[in-house]
Amino acid sequence: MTDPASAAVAADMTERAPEPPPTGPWRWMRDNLFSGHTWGQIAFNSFLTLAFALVLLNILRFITSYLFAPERKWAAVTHNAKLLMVQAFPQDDLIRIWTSLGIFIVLVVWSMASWKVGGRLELTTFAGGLRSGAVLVAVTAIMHHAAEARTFGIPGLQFDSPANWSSVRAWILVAAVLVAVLAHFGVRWSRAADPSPTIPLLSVPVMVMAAVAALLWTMELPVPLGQFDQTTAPIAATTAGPWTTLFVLAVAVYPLGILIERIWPRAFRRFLISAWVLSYPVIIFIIQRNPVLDWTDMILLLGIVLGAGALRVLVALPRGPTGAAVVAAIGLVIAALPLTSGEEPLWVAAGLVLIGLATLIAALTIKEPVVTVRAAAAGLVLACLLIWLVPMPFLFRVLVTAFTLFLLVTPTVGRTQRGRTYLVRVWVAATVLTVVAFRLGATFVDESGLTAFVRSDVVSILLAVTLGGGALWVLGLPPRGHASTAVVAAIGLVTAALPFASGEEPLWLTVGLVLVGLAILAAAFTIKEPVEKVRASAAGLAVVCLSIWFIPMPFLYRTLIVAFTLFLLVTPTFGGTQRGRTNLVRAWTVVAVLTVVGFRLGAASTSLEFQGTTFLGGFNLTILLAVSGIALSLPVGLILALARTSSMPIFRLLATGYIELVRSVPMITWLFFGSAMLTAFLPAGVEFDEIVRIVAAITIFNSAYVAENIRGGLQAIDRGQYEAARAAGLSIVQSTSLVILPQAVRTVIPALVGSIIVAFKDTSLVAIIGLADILLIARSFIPQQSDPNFQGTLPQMMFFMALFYWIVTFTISKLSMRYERSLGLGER
Amino acid sequence: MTTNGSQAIICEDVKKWFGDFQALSGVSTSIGWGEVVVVIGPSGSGKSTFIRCINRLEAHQAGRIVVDGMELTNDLRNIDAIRREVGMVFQQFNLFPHLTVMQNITLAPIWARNRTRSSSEAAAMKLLERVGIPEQAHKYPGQLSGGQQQRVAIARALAMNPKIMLFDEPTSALDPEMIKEVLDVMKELAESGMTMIVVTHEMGFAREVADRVLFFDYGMVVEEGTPEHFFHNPQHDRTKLFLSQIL
Repeated sequence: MTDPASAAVAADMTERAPEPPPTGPWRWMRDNLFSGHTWGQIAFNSFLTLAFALVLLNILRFITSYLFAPERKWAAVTHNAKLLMVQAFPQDDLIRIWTSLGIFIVLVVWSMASWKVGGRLELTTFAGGLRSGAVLVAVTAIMHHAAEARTFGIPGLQFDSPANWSSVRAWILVAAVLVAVLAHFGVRWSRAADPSPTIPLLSVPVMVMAAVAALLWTMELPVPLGQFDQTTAPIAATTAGPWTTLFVLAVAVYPLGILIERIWPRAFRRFLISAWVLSYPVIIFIIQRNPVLDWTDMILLLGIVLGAGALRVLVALPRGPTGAAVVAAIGLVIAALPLTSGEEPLWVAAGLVLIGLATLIAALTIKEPVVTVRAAAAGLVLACLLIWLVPMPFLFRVLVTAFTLFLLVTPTVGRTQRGRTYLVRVWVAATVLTVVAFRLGATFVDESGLTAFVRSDVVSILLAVTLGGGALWVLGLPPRGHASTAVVAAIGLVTAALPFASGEEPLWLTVGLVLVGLAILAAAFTIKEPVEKVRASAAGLAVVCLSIWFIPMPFLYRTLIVAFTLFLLVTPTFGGTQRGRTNLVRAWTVVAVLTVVGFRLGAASTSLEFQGTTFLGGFNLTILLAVSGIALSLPVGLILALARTSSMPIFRLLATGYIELVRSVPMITWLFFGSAMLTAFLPAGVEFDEIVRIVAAITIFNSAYVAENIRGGLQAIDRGQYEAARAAGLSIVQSTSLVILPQAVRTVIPALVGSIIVAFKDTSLVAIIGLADILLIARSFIPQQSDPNFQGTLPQMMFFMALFYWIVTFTISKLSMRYERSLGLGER
Repeated sequence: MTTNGSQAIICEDVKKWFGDFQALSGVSTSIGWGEVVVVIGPSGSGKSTFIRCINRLEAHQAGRIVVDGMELTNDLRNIDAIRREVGMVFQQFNLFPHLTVMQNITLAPIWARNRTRSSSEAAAMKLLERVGIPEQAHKYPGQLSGGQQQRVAIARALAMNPKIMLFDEPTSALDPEMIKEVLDVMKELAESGMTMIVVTHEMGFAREVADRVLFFDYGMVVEEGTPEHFFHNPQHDRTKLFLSQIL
């Protein structure tokens, strides 16, 4: 085996690859711009290079001479920046916008800390970029001069033009050339150095922010002067100040994020994920809108919490007649709850109760657990369908139906710990979104009471979070057993009875509730199986919670008590492990904060004098439409794609029909559908805010395209993957979500990013139905202002818009490119 | 390990059609616990279809299949239960390319058996040691050789603690150099008492490891017997012809 040939092969394998030939600007130009083997080729290629360079130079000259011509009134852009960004948002309340931006920036920076974005950037790359940038600035400075001096021709020849060679421009030119030269030497030096020097990647954004901050305080922007002229003035401190603060904030919170990441890496990441999820409703509905809440909102928010907790308990039930019975009984109560409105005809009420009873009987008699629950489910669906006949607010109907639907999947999803957690999470998200969509158009009040708002909110949140979270954590600690069950049940009894302290309730209710509580306690002590015991008490507590509604007391207290009681119910399940306890407390924190914030949404507020959603406008509106449209159309598209590739003909048919219908109608038609027709499709008296309807229309349209993209990815996955997953014992849902979808979505990321960019740009179409997005303001509001300074500035505005949209979409593509590269590892 | 029924697998007159083509035309056999059965036969003879019917990747259209005391019907719960007890190794490995070796192995135990991450990772590490590649745990399948990938696939199937293992031509997509490393793992598995059905063209493996050989053609068992009987004293003309072509 040791013949010389194979030895040579072995030696070759250890040998290093040959060094690439030396490169340099001259070499590069020779290879790329003036290449060729014969003089003829070289001459021809040089001619091509020069010709195209001249074309490029003239395009640049055209753009710059347009940009810098004295008659361009850029004050139309700079003076209307606020209008473009947030339209008519009250001047006094701009702090809300800045706060929103601050939250966004902190979340971005902390996410970068948690996901360890960064690393090292080769100095060569950085210096190369700096060099290109400096050259561009220098060329632009020359072009600026050329444009101002009205000289046309080869720019170099006008250098001696005496006209207007302003000192500022000269300094910029000198500085740019200096930087370019320094950067060039930096490139050469770092290329020669071994190992090649690097800088932290994150120092680049810091430098950029520092440079922008410096410009903000020194640069002068055009402002209108008199009626038909403009001059320049420093940027107002009300703009420069907040931006500088935001930059400082970004730099300041990063070390804090790193510190938290070091101490609690997992917790931090989970916090960030929930913060990203919560930030969107909080920013739009609380920080920017500051709405008024009435009793219905509070009931709804309580419903959310109650639903989450009850689900948490119900999914933990063991499968069997008992579990089915409890699920069915609670379903019965919920299905019957709307009856308390008392407006329905008797036969409806009686019919619903009968159906409920039939379900309960079915649940108790049928032997096979799964079949039982399915029968119960079917009964509940019928009940829910009947709810439509009972007069009640539409939103209530929707929530009751949604809850029932969630109930149906508890037997399947509830089998695993993870499934239960996800189910509750999905329920919370679904209900919050539903409520928020319904309440978007709620009116404002213009009473001022900011201090009261802050005080009560902060106090309520802190109390709820610290007391409730701490108590839950402690209760999760004791080992599972009789003693701890008794303690949990006793505390649950106390908290459930606490609302009675208001003393306004009739005696029979108090007595009744205390008796129920005692019964639960007794049950807890007599039933043998510890888990069962706690579950029985849980079901009892849920009933108690439902009864609380009949007692007068502040709703916030009710809600928090109920929420806490519900959290109590799950302590036996979650309290077993450290991780479970932490998660429970975290979930309680989120729920409590959401509850309190939700209740205080409409507390006496600032001077927002407009009604409905007109507070949204400009880029603010564009972002809202784009983010909501994209965030909703991705999951909808995913479901459609799965349905279209499903083996069940009914799903396939429906999905195909939907996609073909939606794709064959122009987007504008869908926008008109959302704006003008959607209300006609809904029951009488149900009215969504226009923005919600438009978001629905955008989602309808985009989801069809997203579905087709994802379907392409699904078809690219080898069938063996699915077979392997199924053969390993994963269920259909698990195989699809854990094996097929991650691969399918990965392959279609470029197409999805394309859809996202199109969706972002398409939001500008809402101008047609009269929503004041950034493009409508730029196209119509500003050029048509009565101020003669801005009349007829449409071309500049469109130029600026092109640049603006390009910056946003280019950022999206750059980020997606980075993401794709980070996913590249391990791909086949 | 608790086993149900005296036989691991019982097949009675199993039939299967793909359109008009009859892939299985009445297969009857039973496989005992701890038995290693090698299925051989020409291509298109229904061997793969047969073992794919056993964990119902294909549905049989007539006859009965009973695995671990449970009959394969359209009832999804039965199928899921059987698939948790029956591991399968494919010709094309079918590892999940977006997951590391470790994640490939722990995916099913975590999600289908509800194990904790840490316990299934410890178990996966043991399995990787058993198949001889513990150092590859955190690589992606695309970074491994074919033989290593197939060994990971075996470890993935074993991670569910199956009572029965099915091998569908596990070495057919491998370079000759890598076949041995996979066969060694399978031999070790057979010696440990695992019930195995192996579809293969590796006659050496069949001779050395099999308790019984099934020879398939025209979608049915043409001949079955011990390797001894099968290789040295075949009864059927079709078997003799087949053996004369490959040996």
